[in-house]
Amino acid sequence: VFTFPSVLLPVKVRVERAPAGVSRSDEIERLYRERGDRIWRALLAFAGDPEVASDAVAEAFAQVLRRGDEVRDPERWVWRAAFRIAAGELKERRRSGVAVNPGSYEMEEPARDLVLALGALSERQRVSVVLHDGAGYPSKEVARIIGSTEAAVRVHLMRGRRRLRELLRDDADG
Amino acid sequence: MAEFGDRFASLARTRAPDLWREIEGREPRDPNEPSSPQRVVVALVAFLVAIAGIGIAAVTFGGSDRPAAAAGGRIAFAAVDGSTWQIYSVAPDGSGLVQLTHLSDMEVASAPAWSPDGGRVAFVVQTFDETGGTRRADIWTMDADGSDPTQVTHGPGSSWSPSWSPDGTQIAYTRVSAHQRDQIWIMDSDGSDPYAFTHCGSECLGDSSPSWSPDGTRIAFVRRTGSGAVIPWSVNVWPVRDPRSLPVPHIELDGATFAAGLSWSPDGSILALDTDLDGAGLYVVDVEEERIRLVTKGPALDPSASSWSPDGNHIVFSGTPPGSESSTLYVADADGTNLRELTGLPPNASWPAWQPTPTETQPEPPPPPTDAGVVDTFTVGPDVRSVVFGEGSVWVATSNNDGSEGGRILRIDPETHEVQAEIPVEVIPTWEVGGGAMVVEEGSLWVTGAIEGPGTDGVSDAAVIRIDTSTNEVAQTFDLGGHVGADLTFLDGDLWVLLFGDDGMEVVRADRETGQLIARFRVAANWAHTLVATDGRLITAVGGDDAVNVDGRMIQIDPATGVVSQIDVPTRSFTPMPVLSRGEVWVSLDPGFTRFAPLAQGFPDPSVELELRFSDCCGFLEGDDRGIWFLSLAPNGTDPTLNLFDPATGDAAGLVELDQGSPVAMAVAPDAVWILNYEGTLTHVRLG
Repeated sequence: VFTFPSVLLPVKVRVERAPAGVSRSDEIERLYRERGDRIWRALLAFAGDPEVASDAVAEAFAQVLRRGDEVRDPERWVWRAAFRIAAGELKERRRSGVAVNPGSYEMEEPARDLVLALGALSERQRVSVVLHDGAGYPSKEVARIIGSTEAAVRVHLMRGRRRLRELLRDDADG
Repeated sequence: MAEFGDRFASLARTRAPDLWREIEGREPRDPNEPSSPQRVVVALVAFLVAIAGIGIAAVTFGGSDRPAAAAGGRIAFAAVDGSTWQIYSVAPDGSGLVQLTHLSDMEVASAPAWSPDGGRVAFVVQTFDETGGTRRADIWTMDADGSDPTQVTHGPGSSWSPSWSPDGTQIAYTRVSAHQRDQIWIMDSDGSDPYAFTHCGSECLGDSSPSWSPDGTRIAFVRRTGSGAVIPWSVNVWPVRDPRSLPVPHIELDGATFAAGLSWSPDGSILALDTDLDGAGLYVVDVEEERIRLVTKGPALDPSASSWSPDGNHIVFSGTPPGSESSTLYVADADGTNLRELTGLPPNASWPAWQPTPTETQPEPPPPPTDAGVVDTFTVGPDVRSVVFGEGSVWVATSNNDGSEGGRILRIDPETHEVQAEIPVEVIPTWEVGGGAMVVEEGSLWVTGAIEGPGTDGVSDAAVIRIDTSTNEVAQTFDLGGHVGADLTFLDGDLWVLLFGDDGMEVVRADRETGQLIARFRVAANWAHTLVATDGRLITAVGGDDAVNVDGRMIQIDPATGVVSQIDVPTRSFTPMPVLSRGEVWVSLDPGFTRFAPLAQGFPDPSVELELRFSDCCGFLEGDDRGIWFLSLAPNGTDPTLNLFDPATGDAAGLVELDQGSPVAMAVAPDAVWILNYEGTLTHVRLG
């Protein structure tokens, strides 16, 4: 299910807990098995498009796999990279006029409404809401993941939620 | 539970594809490829709005019109006089060129910056030694006509990029020295008392281009960093008072290879910026939204270094026309349109700085009343809480007097003293010592207090009601959580309420239309009663653990940064209260006043001590352009007197003795003062 831990384990703890002899690629695969679905769903919520989400997640994991020990904190790195990659793809699509939408991907109606409403938020509002309200990360961790300040994240959250509330209320009314 | 939890839970049931096989076999894209999405930062790209081709259009039509003549002020800039760079000034329409400096060819002038009154120009003089190799730069100032040049920095190291504080007393600048990374420093405008404002730590490669915000509270600067995934260039906006107090706006410039020339718009909302974020161009940063957009670009024009007209409607920047190797100045409307070249300037015109229009002298405050007298003291009802004047009426809050939270708002005719309307309300000011918590504004009476909680446990919620003064009916009720509303005010279009929360005091910001909470600011104190808004800040006074006799503290909230700062009141004071007069905040010290100066590092102003003892802790104080109205008591605690304190002279004049009642609250009208008494009476004092 889509329930994220409220706090990420600090990387040192996580590395120490890795069994002796476990290679970095094993560790990355385990990260994917444990977190991949959640990251993908967060990316779906962020990008509003399963293709963009899949590409971003695959590219982020592929990159961290190739970078090996160069990446100190693979989980945070993957989160940040995946969002950046998706943001880049969204920008490309806007430029080339390719529509972004959940398409016919199978999901429940409330989830589809949510994804569509999120699409009306600014990107930083969206990433803040998705990581905080969806993934359960505290605003400080959201700031670390997206490379911002905690205060800025709170502002994005506040504005994003207000907008989302309006959109989903209209949706329910309509 | 997280907000929108049901919908996210629904999303959580969406099946995710298994991508591992693809990940293992995938060849990662080259992260250094310029068009690769990996170089894109989420925050910025969505807001880039390129107004393509404007640079070319500008050159086509440049110089034909004479724009912005009404925008005021001259434009100082640096340009080459034949042998070296000098400072010049010119009118915004391109007329009246004047050379202000006459440096030797061993010196180079740059980066002029006007003092806030437009009277002096700070600028940088770069000097070379005999070999022409080594160099040092110092900041000088001179009068607007070039007279009285004065060197204000004298090394060691170099000083660049001066930016004046809005009160003209200080200059922020970039200091470069051999043993330290570039940092932002602040000095007095005569060069004395320099200190480091930023500290460029381990991941920081240098700070530069300071720009002091028009309200004086913040300094924007460019920071260059250099570690791993960190974006190398960023715009940062730090509070002047305590640069370490976060949070602060931080705007990353992903893809930039340089950034410089920060310049605040006169209203302090946006910063112009010279960077190459998405191709060289003139960008502006919306500081509150932390977003950036492109104003103008053009491969030939290469706009850089900009400055705003005093009215904020125009912007001047330097650019290089196609086919030329020499830059010149352009003036455009603030949105980048209506671009025109200033013709006839010396070559390589750069670093334009638009002269501020000297601030108009403050109008004389209205004269104090020549006489005052009690017209009448009449009964309004039991358990009166607060009084306010507005919309031509006197408004008094009284409770139901039965222990419930509700009561009545009485609208009273100031001439006849008749009750024009009696409005039953669920919320009245609850503070038993009276005063505050009511504001009349734009056809509405706003009242804060407590509303019965949803349960029957007797716990109340802080609430605000809005009464429509055209219908005398409660139009809206906002439940704000917490327990009891203490006072309210308006700032930046939003409603701000000081309230007693679950765990100490809070200031909440709410949408005035919907009551929707926007932000909560914790104030570490057990009590606070009065909230004033001025100069974009909110100020309240609070007490500590001892609710009876306290060392009061002042709390300042900067809504833009969220910074809550605490300032100790200079003397031990029984319930200090902030009050606004002539646009300044004063604090009551009992007996006396002190000024809560803008940017005060504590209270630098001496207190004005009065012999008069104030009548009560809080409801006695009202300020307007005439001064601060307060009630005093004789040493034996009797004989209340209405007084007017003149902030300009520090004198207090007794206006009239009040022979009836024990005052709890006061409202000031243009021609009267209304004093509410514990006895349930209202005293009408006429001002002559």
